[in-house]
Amino acid sequence: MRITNRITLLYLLGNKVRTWATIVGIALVMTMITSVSVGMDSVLSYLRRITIAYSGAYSGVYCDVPPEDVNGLLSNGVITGHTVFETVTSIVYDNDTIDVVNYSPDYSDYVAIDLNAGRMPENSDEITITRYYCYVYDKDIGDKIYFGGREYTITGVADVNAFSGSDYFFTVDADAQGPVTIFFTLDKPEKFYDYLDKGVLKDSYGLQCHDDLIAYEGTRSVNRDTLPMIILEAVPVILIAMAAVSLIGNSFSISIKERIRQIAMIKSEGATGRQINGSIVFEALVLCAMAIPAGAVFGILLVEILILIFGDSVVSISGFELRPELVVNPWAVVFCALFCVGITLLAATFSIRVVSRTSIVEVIRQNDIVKLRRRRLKFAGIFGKIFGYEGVLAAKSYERNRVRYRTIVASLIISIVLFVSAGAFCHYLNSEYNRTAEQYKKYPDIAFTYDCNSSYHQPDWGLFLKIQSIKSITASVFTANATVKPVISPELYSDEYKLMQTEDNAVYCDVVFVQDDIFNHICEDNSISASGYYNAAAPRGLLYDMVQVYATADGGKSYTATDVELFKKYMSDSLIRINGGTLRIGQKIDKLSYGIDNSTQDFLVIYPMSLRDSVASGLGGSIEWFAYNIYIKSDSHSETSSEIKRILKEANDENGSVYDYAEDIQAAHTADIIIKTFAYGFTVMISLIAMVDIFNTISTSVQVRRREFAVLSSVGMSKRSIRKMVNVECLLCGIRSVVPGAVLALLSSVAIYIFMRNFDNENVFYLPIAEICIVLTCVLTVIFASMLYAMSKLKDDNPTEVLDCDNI
Amino acid sequence: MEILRAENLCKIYGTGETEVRAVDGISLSIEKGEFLAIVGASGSGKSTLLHMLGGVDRPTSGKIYMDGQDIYARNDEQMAVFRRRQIGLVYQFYNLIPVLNVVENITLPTRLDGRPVNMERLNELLSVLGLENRKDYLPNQLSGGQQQRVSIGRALMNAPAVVLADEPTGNLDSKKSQEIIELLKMSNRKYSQTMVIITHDEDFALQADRVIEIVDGRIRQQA
Repeated sequence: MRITNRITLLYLLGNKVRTWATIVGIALVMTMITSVSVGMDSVLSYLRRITIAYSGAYSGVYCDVPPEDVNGLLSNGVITGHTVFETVTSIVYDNDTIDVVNYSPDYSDYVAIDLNAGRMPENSDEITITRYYCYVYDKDIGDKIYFGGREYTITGVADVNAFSGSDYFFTVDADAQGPVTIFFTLDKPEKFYDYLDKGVLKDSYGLQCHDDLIAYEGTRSVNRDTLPMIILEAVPVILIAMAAVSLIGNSFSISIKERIRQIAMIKSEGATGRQINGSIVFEALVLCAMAIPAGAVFGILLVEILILIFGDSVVSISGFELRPELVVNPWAVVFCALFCVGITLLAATFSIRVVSRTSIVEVIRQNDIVKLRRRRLKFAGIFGKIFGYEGVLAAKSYERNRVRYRTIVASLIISIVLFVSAGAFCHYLNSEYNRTAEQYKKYPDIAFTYDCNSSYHQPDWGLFLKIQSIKSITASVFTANATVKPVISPELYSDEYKLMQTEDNAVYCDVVFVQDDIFNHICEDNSISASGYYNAAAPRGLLYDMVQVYATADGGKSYTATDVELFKKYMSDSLIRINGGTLRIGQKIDKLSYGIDNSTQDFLVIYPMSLRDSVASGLGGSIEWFAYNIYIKSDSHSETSSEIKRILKEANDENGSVYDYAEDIQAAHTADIIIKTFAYGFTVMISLIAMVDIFNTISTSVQVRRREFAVLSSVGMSKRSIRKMVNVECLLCGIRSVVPGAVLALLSSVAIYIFMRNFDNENVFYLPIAEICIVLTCVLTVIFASMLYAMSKLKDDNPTEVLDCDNI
Repeated sequence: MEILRAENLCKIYGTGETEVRAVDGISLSIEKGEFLAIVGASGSGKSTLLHMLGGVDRPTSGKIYMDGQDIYARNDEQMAVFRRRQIGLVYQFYNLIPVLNVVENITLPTRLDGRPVNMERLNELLSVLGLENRKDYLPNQLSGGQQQRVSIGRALMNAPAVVLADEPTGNLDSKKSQEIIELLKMSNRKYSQTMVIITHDEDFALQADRVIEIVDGRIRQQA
């Protein structure tokens, strides 16, 4: 080993604290860069898997291709596989094309078929239809349907989410002769458009690219789809790089300054510039060799841990039964390592510049005083008045060694700004979550709705009873809703409603029948006697006329929903005319509960369930819509939701639908936590780098000044005074970082506020006082703690020995 | 035979009102194998002159020739090689590398040159310097005298043309100082080493072949 490298290695081993501080710093940087890279790869892979699960693994699709042209399209050397939908017959319904195609189980390799109910066809008499046509044709599994002069039995409800311009019904017909739809995969899917431009892929037969999948093919080509992901990856990496250069550069600077005398000696003994520079590069590479593998492992582990913690939450947010997986691209990790090495070497070059400018003679003479320029010192006077002569010395020392403290100040400012920004950002997210949660308070955990379309008929009451008796349900309210069109003069509307209602939307009335006991509770909540509302001969309902109106805000940039009172004036015991009948109204209420809510422009009239038949018979043919609802409170919303779906599937009933409000709020809560974790986690990591940097700088700075402290001690300065001087220096360093840091942090929080308003104009500016106080306390604590630690190492120093000792 | 010649050397620090002429037009010639002592008050320019002679500090003006070649006609890389092969430097404050042991400190110039260590020469030096039993010791495990002997060993290891010593006994007690003086004289005799020593020790100076007194950056007298 070269002697200069050996000397470097021995210094690293001899200064374990500083060496380990630098290794930890580099490892932290590598951990963060690796976790960002691996995290992004895992996210892309997950999004890709979801896209494949949703629409299939195909890269592109040709539509309506004559069978004889298929080979010509596929023989281009870049298509690696394909499947073909052979058309049996095509029909046009309501301007949409429906292709009846031959079904093959092989389709699943290329196209996702979403089987919602029943099974796929097994012979030519069987067919599956889509959910939409199931609803439009009012068909169910087992029903007959006619297409192309043939009768089919519906065996299942299946949808193809892949875009190809048609809807597909599946049957089995091996003799299908019609045009085909080709779903194909490419050797390099990301090159779809390149192949198209070069004519490798023929631009014909309505060729479509599976853009959603291409965007997640893990490439780094810059386009409209990948640009947001690239920016999301680049921004943290840039911030990490800045912190890394600061930390590592500072560590090297300290290392060099500590050894400057020995470096000057080696130079005087004949070491060339190249040998000295080589030893600095050697130091960088040795530190990297130790730090980078550890950092890579921790970075990968960090992502795995995050997946383990948040995997289930991501599943619930995505709606797919697919758990995110750790994806490690070895080349990406190698790139991260090289990036880290590059930053370290860049930092080392700053030190090399310092060394090359160092004069051997000045170092040997210990003439670094010569380098200082005489200049007026700003703080010496003020600090002298406050802290005495110790303050004067501290201020002079700080002012004259600004370069040494520059990186500390810069690191601290970055940490302060990042922490406060993260806090402000998370606050706005939290506000949005709180607003959502507040909004959802009036909703039940789960809402079950059974649509009877436009007819009033007796549904399967057994189904409702089964649902209400699910074990995990803690409370439920059953209602029946009929929508009718009232005849109301616009003069009756309130001024506020007229002002907000810019469009000429029709106002409907929802006639709501609730369980009698619930009706009584509603009366009680609104201080109304329920007794007068049970007359079947002349049924009266409670009026609720708070409607939700959407109006533009911010000059048309967004819509906001506002609750307004519909009617200007209300008289008790009124009649509302509807087509074919009337509704008698009792009193108006302003409190709703038990899951009953009005987030529409329709007003409500509420009756007890026992009067349902007599009221409904009075409404007759004027009912526009009829539905039954069960509003559910549950101690396990996902279990309840699954059980309801199972009951519906068992009953083969397509009229019921379930909406899990609790899942929405949970998803919002989870997303809120995930984002906060990443925001604060990233900030903490950057701050850790800064703290390591500060500790390194301050502790080494104190070590380097041992001779100075020995001189002060020898001329009569007490240890207490020296500590006071050092503390004042810390305070000065803290002030110089805290004041600009706080100002920049405030500006940053204003910028974040302006940014967040683009997404939600209900955001109010948040002054992050708490975050600023926390981070300032931490900053000052770190500074003083580092200094205390360093000073504790010197407390037993004998001034005479230190002054005599050449090998400092 | 002349080995080292300085012509009109000047070293000026600062400008204008703060200008300091540390060396002000010194010319001298040193013969091969000569033992030259430089004396003078503190701040007279002795160390500055020595550093310029050793290729450590460039003069503001003037030339220095070794074996007829202008030593400052070289670039920095060539200067470094020149120092490690032709010059041996001994300082008042030893200036050893704290992390290297005695042998490693002594062989530092050879290893910087990338050449194999001449073990015979090394063992001879260790024996002459009385450091055979301290070969693996680090500088902080040695006394002041021992450290200075290591420093001398380092200066002699490559058998340089000239050894320059800046107050080599300035940090030692009288007994150790005498040991060092004897060592340097022995080296001068045995290896025909050209020696240029800065000293405050009059007795030491009187043992030299020639004494030069520097006052205010100029040679006042030679004896």
